[in-house]
Amino acid sequence: MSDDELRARVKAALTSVAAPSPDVGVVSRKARRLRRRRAMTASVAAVVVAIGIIVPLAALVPTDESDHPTPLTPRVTGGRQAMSDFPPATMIAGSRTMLSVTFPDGSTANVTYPSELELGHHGVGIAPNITASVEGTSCGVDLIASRESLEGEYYDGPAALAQYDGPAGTVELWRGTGGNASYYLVYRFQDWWLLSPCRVGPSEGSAELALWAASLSGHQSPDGFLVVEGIPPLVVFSDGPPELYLGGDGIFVQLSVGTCTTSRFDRDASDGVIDICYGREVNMYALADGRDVRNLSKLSEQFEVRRVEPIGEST
Amino acid sequence: LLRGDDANGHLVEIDFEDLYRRQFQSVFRATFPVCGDRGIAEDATQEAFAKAYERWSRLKYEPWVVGWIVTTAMNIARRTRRLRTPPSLRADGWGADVDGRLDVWAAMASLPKRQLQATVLHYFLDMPLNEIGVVMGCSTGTIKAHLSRARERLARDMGSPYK
Repeated sequence: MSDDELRARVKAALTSVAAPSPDVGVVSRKARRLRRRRAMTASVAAVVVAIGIIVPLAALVPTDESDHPTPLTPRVTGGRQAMSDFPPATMIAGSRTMLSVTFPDGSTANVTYPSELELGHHGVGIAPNITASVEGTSCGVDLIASRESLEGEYYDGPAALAQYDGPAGTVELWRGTGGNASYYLVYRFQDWWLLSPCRVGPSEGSAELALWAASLSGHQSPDGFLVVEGIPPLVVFSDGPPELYLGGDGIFVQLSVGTCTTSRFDRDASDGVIDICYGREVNMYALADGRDVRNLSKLSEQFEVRRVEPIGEST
Repeated sequence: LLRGDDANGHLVEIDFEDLYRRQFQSVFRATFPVCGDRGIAEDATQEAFAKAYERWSRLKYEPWVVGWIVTTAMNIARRTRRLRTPPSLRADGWGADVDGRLDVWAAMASLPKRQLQATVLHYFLDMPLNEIGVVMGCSTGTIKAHLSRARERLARDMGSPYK
């Protein structure tokens, strides 16, 4: 098969896929949501910097556990394990399932949803990308988190190029496979791998690499989630909030913490997207797979977030 | 492809809405092999255009903007797919010679991420290697290596040695 023939076959195969028509309204709505989310994140950061104190966010929102007495029977459910995802422990009480989650910044929350949606069954994952930065250095910004080794996909080689001391153990430097970055610092936190892309190698940037290794720490929470901590000058979540994903049949759910400064409700599932703030801490953004919005309506009506413990609050 | 420069090499501002209307279906088709799911591919395509719109002041002169949108959409689709059941092969909407097209699709779907991105950008969108390098964040030599491995693998999986 020649190059031209390969090109023709690829074009024929992809061109024959029936494609939907562009809808300017959909992309406009998504762009507005992205801008709003970015603005809210920025305003939260600005307020925190301006007043110079950490606001006890939990005090701003009542944890209305008593309003929703749901007798729960502990039961560990299995689930499909995929990259960054793991089967979480859930508690099922008939038509309701509760899942305790830990966000990558250490905040915790209990979420409850209709059991029939099986969100936990299809895996819970932290966002593959966690933002972190140290001003003036050549590493970061998007860190890559995974429950599986990413050797061969992101980095490769006969051995690590260098080793550095980190707060939670040795941090290795590997050569990138030629994709996103030339090098990767590879951190291990129990079952998790965390990769920081770097543009400099050990010969030209050993001081930067050592600083990154020493400034990024993390651990695995008791329920299996990854928690990431930055030691100054490293700032984690510098360009995006801590996020979690829940997978369900035909539904994709994104939870982010610390992104709500005002309550907002887009509970109308008819356009395939809902976007809801729970109190002032947790935002739930969910979209339905294609046009199946029936389950999204159920999620809109029955999804609950309770017992939110933002980072810094005692449990 | 809509280009960010004219025949004389002068910068030309690309109109977002025009680009969206003209390229939406191409981006969707480029994203589809990543997930094999029309719903995920459509959502990822819309999301990628929305992200591009957010950054339009920086992207509107770039000749590789469609490549940026395609790789963004592919990454979103891949991330979304990870949380769902593996894609099932659906033959609807494939027109004539369904078996032949499915062979190509299956071969492409088995490619590693970077090889698939390079293949779609080069063979489907006809992007030059240097622009693919920009949107994928690597050198032209690395792109060549990705394409070389992809060609060998596609030819093998489609039962026709590459010449």
